[in-house]
Amino acid sequence: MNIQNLELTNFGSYRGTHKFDFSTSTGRMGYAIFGEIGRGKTTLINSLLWALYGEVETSVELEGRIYTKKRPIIDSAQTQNDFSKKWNLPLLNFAAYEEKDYTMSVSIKFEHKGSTFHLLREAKSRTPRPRKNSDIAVQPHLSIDGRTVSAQLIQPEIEEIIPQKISKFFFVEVDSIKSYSALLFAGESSGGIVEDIEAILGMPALEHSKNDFVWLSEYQQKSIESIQTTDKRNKSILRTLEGIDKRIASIRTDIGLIGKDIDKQTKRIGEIDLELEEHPSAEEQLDRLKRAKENKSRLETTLKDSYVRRRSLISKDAWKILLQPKISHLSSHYSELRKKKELKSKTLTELELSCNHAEIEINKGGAECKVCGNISEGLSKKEREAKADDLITNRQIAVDLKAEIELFGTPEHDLVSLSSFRDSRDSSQIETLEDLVSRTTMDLFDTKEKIKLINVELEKADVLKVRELQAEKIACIELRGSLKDERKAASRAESDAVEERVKTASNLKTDETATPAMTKLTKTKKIADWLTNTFDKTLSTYKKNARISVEKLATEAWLSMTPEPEKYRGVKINERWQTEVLSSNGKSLPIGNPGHRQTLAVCIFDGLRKTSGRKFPTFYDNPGSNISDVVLQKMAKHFWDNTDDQIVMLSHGGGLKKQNTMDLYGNKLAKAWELSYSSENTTTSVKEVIQ
Amino acid sequence: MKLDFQVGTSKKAHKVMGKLAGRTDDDKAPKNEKAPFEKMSDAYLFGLVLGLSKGQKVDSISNRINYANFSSIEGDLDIYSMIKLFGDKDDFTNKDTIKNAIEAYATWGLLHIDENYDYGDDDYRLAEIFTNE
Repeated sequence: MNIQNLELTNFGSYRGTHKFDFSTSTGRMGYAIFGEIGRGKTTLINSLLWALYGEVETSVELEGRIYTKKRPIIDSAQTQNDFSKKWNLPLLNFAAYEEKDYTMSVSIKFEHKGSTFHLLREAKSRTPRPRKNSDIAVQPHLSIDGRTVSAQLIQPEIEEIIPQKISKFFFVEVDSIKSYSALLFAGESSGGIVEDIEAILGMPALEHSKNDFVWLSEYQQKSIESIQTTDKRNKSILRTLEGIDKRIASIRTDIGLIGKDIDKQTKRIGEIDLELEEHPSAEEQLDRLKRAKENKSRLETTLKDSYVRRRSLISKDAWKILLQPKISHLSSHYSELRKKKELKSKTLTELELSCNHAEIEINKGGAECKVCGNISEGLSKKEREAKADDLITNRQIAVDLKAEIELFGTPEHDLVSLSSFRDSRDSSQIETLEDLVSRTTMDLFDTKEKIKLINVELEKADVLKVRELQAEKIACIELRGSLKDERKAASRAESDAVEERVKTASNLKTDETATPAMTKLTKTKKIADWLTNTFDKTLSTYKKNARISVEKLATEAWLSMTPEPEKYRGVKINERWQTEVLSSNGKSLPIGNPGHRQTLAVCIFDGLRKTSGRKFPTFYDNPGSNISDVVLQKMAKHFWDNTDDQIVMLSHGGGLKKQNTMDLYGNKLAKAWELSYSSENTTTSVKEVIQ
Repeated sequence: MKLDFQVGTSKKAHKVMGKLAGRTDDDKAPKNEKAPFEKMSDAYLFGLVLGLSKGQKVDSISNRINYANFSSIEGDLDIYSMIKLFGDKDDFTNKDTIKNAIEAYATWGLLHIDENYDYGDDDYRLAEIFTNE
């Protein structure tokens, strides 16, 4: 399949009609689309998928789990401008919706096996103001070489060209790489991945052919047995065979009935999904209500805890914080008083000492002082009288000083007392808690208001119906699971019975004078058995070869993408399609890094894509943010070097830059476009940069 | 010096003290979870220190209600020293002046909190009391 042109109208960020003309006379198969994140590159891929299969899936990783949803065309929340929790945004361009232009379409012209295909898928509103997906009617149109294909045959035609399951391997983009890398490294590969991989390798078709030969062999066997019934020696064996046949028939009837029941449940699940889409707002409101109630409960707990912690802080000695400014002031005051008191006390001591000397001199006319040991000289009477006068004055001064000192009180003790009230804490913790209380109270108020609003919305919505549908869906899924188990058990019983039948039938005796018809039947049966066995062996060999081919191609890709190829021997894939990387000495290496895992998933994609032999353009978008720039560059080179079929590289400001792409791969480019925001708003504007 | 006497406050301040400790008019009702104090005695002590630290006390206590023996409020604290250090000189002349000062400071503090830090809806915000005053 080679795309000739792609035309989008009001799809995602593309407002109005935009055309990408892929036709070229250069013989080059490379195309590049440049543009920063959010400018519409991935939307372009999505438009192609929507045109082909009528649906676009998107996924998000939440708390380590990958959730996948189909994107609606219209979402009622869009009318309320509530995109806060939405990751599966509607496909219809927002501006178009606001301007009441409810038509959306994607048209692809492509060549496939010498024929020209024109596929158009368009969405139109059934109502003047659509609010939900069911208000939109989607209609595909397909013509092959100008002949219109009837509506029922459009999807089978597309599936013939590129089955939806296989298409994902041609789109190297972060969502599918992420989910595939998770599956490739799961402890036990799920049936899903093996099924997908076998689909890309065309194995279901081979299985189908093998089953035809099994049927042929059984048919021949029955014919042989019908002749053998005439031989009396076989009477008892034939009775046994009859019993086994009845058992097999009964088991097969059961398997058929179980299969029908499984289909019934699958159909009902699909119907419920459609019905649930009719009530998107109720379903979403219930989800929002649940989240809001959880948030309310969390906020209430935070609030309660904050009050408890604040109470504990305030009740326990917080009053000390109040005293601290005064303590600093009082501390200087008492220190000053203590200094003054000490000074006065010193003066008093000196005065008392001098009075003591004077008294000795007056009484003894000069003698050794018993206090200080000084020896005073002898004094005359006149001198002693003068000294006595001074002594009386000094004694009075000392009494006054003592009284003054008394008035100072005990500042030294006060300073000690004061220190017992000192505290280094401040009020910051209380402030923080009260801030938290204020913020939480406001949030709680908002949340309560939100709950009120949601409840008002819910009153309008048919909540009971949604709950009933959800419960029924769960029951259907569970029932389908147990039916599948039942079918497996029945299939095992069928195989056992068939084996028993073959063993029993081998004891049948054939008349020596067998008719030529018998000989012919035996020969035909032998051929059918041989074909069955050959198909079995071929299928097994093909599976093995396909796995080896993917392994070889993935190894080539891995070695061309990794910065240190000498450290690796290659990629190893086991029968369950579990993947590992081998070191140069053949030891299995731990691939714990998400970037490594995503790179390996890209390599497996590459191997599967090439092994499938399908002709379809490869779209190379951002393969994952965990992959380093060096690996991204090498990866891009790997894809550019393999441009036998159309390859569309989506280059952005991250790993793959415009200038770099132009410099390195300009000679491989047939055409390139640059996507940007239009001057008025954030809708996509397209400019062809290489023609 | 341990202060072993009955202290009280005005009827209005007593009600504030109850509110601050989460008491409601209905004795059987659960305590208000938003209350800033565990016990009334914690609120009384905080009011007293607030008055003391600001040097503010009420002139008189109207409709005085005996609240508790001061030793139950004081606990291991040396309130006598606190009054001596942070109060007026006249406050610690004798036991009576100390008692009167305690009641006047605490009453002022409790009423001040109620007038300035009541956030409404049975809630108080006290963080600013430590910085604004």
